[in-house]
Amino acid sequence: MLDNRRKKIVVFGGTVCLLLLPVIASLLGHEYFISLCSRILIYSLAAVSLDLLLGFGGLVSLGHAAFVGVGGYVVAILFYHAYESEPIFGIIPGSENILIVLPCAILISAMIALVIGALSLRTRGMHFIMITLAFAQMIFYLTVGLEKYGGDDGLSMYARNQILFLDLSNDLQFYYFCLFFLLFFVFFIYRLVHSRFGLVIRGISSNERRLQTLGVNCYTYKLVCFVIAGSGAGLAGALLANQTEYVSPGMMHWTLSGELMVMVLLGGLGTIFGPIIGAFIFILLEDILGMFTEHWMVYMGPFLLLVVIFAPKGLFGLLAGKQESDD
Amino acid sequence: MTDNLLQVQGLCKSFGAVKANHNFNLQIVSGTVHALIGPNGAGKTTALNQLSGELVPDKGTIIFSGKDITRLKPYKRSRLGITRSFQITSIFENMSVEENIALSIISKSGHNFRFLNDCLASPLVRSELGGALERVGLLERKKVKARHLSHGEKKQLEVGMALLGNPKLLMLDEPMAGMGPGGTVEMSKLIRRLRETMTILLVEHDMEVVFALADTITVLVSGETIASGNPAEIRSNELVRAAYLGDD
Repeated sequence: MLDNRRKKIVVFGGTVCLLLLPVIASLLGHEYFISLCSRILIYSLAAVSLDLLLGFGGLVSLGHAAFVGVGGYVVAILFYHAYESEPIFGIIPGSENILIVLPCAILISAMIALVIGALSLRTRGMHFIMITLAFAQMIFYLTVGLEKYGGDDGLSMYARNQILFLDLSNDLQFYYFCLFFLLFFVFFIYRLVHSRFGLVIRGISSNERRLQTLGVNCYTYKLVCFVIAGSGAGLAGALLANQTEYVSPGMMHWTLSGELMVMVLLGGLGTIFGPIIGAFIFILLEDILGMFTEHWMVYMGPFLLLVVIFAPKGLFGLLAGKQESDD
Repeated sequence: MTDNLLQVQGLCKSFGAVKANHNFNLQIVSGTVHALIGPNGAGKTTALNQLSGELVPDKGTIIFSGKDITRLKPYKRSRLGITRSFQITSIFENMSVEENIALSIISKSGHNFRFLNDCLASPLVRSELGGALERVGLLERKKVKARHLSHGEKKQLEVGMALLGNPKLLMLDEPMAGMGPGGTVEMSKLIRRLRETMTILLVEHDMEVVFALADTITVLVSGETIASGNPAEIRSNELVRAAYLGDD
C-alpha cells in the first residue's frame, strides 16, 4: 500500500529516472551506459522475483539463477535452430520472434520451477537452501554437458530476437523494451502481495503451523509462489540472452544466485521496489570499482555489511522511511 | 454412543524408544467441555497433535462425527470443523490485527488463488472482518502489528481467529498458561460462553479451572488413559490420586 507520502515520491521519482535515463545518457554522450542500464533492468527483474520468495514467502532459495539460465538457454536454443533451419528433434521449428520465444522461455522455466519446487518444498530451512542449490548445480552441469549447444563455451546468438515495429538491436529501443517488462512485473508482484494469495504467502512465512490449523494447504501455495518467482527469473534470462546475444553455463552458476540475493538485501528485503535499487548499486559498483581493481568485492563486502546492520529494510527503507507495514 | 463427536481408540505414538502415547482412549460427547489432564510428560500435547493431524499415530483410530480421520492432513481436519489453539500463543506476529483476522477468514474458503485484487477490499473479507474484530474487542487496534499487542490481547486475537468459521470442536492447549488471575477468570467466562455453540477439549494444568469447567475429565498418565469420568468420579479415583499425589 502506498500509504506513505515519502514512499510515493521515491517510487514515482524512481520510475521517472528510469524513463529518462537513456535520454540523459545520450545527451552526455555515454551511449555505452544505455546498454549497461538494460543489463541492470534485467537483473532487477530477476531480483524482484527473488524478493517474492525471500521477502514475502520466507523461502531462502540459493538456486534462483538456474531459472535465469533456463530462460536464456530456451531463447538461444530456439535461435540456434532457426538460424540453422534445423527443427529441434526434427519436429519443433526454432524461432527468432520474441513474441514466440519469450512465452516459451517463461513456460519452460515455470515447468522446471514446478518440478524443483515440488521436491525442494518438502524440506525447509537449511535443507531447502541446500536442495535448491543442488538442483541449480545439476542444471548448471547439464548445460556444461550440452555439447551440441557449446557445452562449457556457451552458445552465441548472431542477433537479437525480432518483433514487429521494434528494432531490438537498437540499444535505446531494447532499453525501453526491458523497462516495459520490469514495470509490468513489479506492478504484478505489487498487486500479488496484497491479494488473497499474497496474504496467504505472507502468513506462511510468518507462522506456517498456525495457517495449517486454520485450514490452508500451505504446500500448494508455496509451490505456486515458487513457480511465479521462477517464471519471473526465466523472463529475465530470456531478456538477458538477448542483451548479451550469448548464453553460457556461467549465467546459472550459484554465485549469480548469491549476487541476486545481495541485490535484494542491499535494496531492501520484502520491499518489491528495493531490489531495483539494489541491482543498480551492485552492478554500478561492480563496474566502477572493477575499473580500478579486480578485487572489487573487498569494497562491496563492508558496504553490504553496513547496509544490512544499519538499514534492515535496505536502501529503499532509508529512502522511503519507516512504513506502516514494517517494524 | 451416537452423540460422540470424537472417538479415539487405542492410539499409540512412539518417538524412538519413548512411548509418548500408549493405548490412549478418548470419547468426547457433543456439546460438552472435556478436559484432558495428566502430570508433566504424560503425553497430552502429543495426543493433541495427533488429533489436529500434525502427528500421524503409529496405531489406533480417530473417528470424528462418524468419519475416520486418523490419517487426514491438518488443513483438511480444520475444514471438517476441528480447530485448536496453541500452548504458546500462535498468531501471525509480522502482520497487522486485521490481516490476522482476514487470513483466518480466507483460509476457510476453498482456495485463495486470487492474485490481483486487494484482499482486504474483497467482499468475503469485508463482510466478516468488522464483526470478527468487534467480537474479540480489537476493532480499535486493527492496524496494529500483532507483535505489539499485550499478552492478553494476543490471546483474544488467537481465540478470535480460532472461532471464525464456527468450528465444531475447539481444542484449547493450556489457555490459562501465563495469565494472571484476572485473565483466568475472563478466559473461563469465554469458555463457558463458547460451550453453548461448540464442543471443547481443554488441556489444562490448573486443576481448579478444570474441576470448575469440565463436564468430563480424562486422565492421562505415562501416555495411557487411566481414568475417565465426571469430576466427582475423578476426584475419588484411587489410580488418579496415586498418579497425582504419589503412592504413600
